[in-house]
Amino acid sequence: MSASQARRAPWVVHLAEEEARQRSIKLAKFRLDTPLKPTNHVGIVSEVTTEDTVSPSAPGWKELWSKEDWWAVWLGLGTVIIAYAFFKGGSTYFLAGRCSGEVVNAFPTRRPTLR
Amino acid sequence: MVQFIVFLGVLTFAAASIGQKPKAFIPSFLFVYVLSLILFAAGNWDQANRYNLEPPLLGLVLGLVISNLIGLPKWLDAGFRVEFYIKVGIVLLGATLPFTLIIWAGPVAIIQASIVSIVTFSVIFFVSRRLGLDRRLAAVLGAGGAVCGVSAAIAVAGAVRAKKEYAPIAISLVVLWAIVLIFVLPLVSRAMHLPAGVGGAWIGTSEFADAAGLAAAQTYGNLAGPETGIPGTPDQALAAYTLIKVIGRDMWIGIWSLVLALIAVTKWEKQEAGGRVQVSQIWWRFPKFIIGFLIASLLTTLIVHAYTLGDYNKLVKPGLIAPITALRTWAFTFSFLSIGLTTRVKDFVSAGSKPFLAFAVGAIVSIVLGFILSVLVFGPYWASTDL
Repeated sequence: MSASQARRAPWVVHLAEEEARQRSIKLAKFRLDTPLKPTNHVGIVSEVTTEDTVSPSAPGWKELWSKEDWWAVWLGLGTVIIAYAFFKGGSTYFLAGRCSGEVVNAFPTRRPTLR
Repeated sequence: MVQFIVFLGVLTFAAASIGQKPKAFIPSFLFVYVLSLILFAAGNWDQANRYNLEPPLLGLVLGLVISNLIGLPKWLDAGFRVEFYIKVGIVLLGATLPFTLIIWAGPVAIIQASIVSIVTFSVIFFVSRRLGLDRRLAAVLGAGGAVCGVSAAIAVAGAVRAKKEYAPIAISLVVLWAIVLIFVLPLVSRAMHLPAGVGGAWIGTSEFADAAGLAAAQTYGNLAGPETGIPGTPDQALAAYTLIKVIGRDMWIGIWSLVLALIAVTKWEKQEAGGRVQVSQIWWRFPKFIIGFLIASLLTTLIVHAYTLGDYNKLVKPGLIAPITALRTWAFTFSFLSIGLTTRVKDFVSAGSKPFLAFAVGAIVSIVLGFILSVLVFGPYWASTDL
């Protein structure tokens, strides 16, 4: 403990130490983030406006509804479940192509003849 | 109209949860949607069909033209969420690739596709690195050449957190080579009188894009007959192509994305950060949409496991897989259009000729290796294959 710290009340010293600890966490996180140049990268370009680069706190459950990665998962899986429900129910809604504007077949029947 | 309302409602809600203002997102998304509608209409045009100009590809070109020649107001940027649309598309892509397809494809298709995928990726990656290219660009180019070109380039770009101009570079190279090979592979196969199944397998092994490969395989299959002296049937060419490309190689999208995401997080970012990356950081930084891709694939595996291959083609594909594929195409179109609208050609040109060179070396290796495997090693198998 330095001489200046010794003159302070213990709770003030504790606060100062906590503040220094938080600063070092922020600095460590900044070093970890810096080389990525977030605005220039595909993977996180859209996440820089959220808490990713603002808050040093560790991500928790909130990530499940505040990150686009998870939203992509929910939307994708939700689509599969809804599509399955329609399919299982024998609906021709999808087959008619109305939900998606068109039906893109991976194996179209048209056969180009270039002979 | 219903489709637009659903898209707008769901995506606006998601964008708002991520931290974007709906007031900024809605008009911008309306712009993206209207352009996409035009692209779908153009994609259905006969001439576009003939040259495999699918909506995502047209979107990329249209976006590049608008952003580089006309320009857009800054406030429109809010709806150009390249990564978000891509990630949704990748999860949907997983749903169209159930693991059951691996079993149906059989060991030869999987072995051949795996050899080509690993060798082509390694060649492009190491040549790129030798040429001094960034490792993330090397990975995106490698995946573009090794798997289903465009989708893989996008998925891996997201997985390794590549710069936003990397995916368009890889996509343009994939498209360029795919168009060349549509004509070259059937012509060479015809000159050598390869059986339809063998030609289809070679096209499946060496083509870079699904749609282009399909056109090439169909073209070659249609040449089969006594008058041309090409043994086999059109269906054999298509079956061999499907087994190798659409099943065998496309499966590698998930594998490469997973492996490269882990390498990027545990090795590259660690080096760049100049320190240790904690285990919790690995999870935090891991691209979660890859997990979505795998879960979606698992879900459809559970759904289709009770069906035979015949029932899958007759019932499941048109009733379940095709609609998901259609929605995936919308997601990719939004994304490609957004890539075009946010990409400046001068960034693109600054990449120079090195990516082209690295990709060209990989393409040549893929073509030669594809020929050796399809004709010399597994020729008898492909000559008699059917799906």
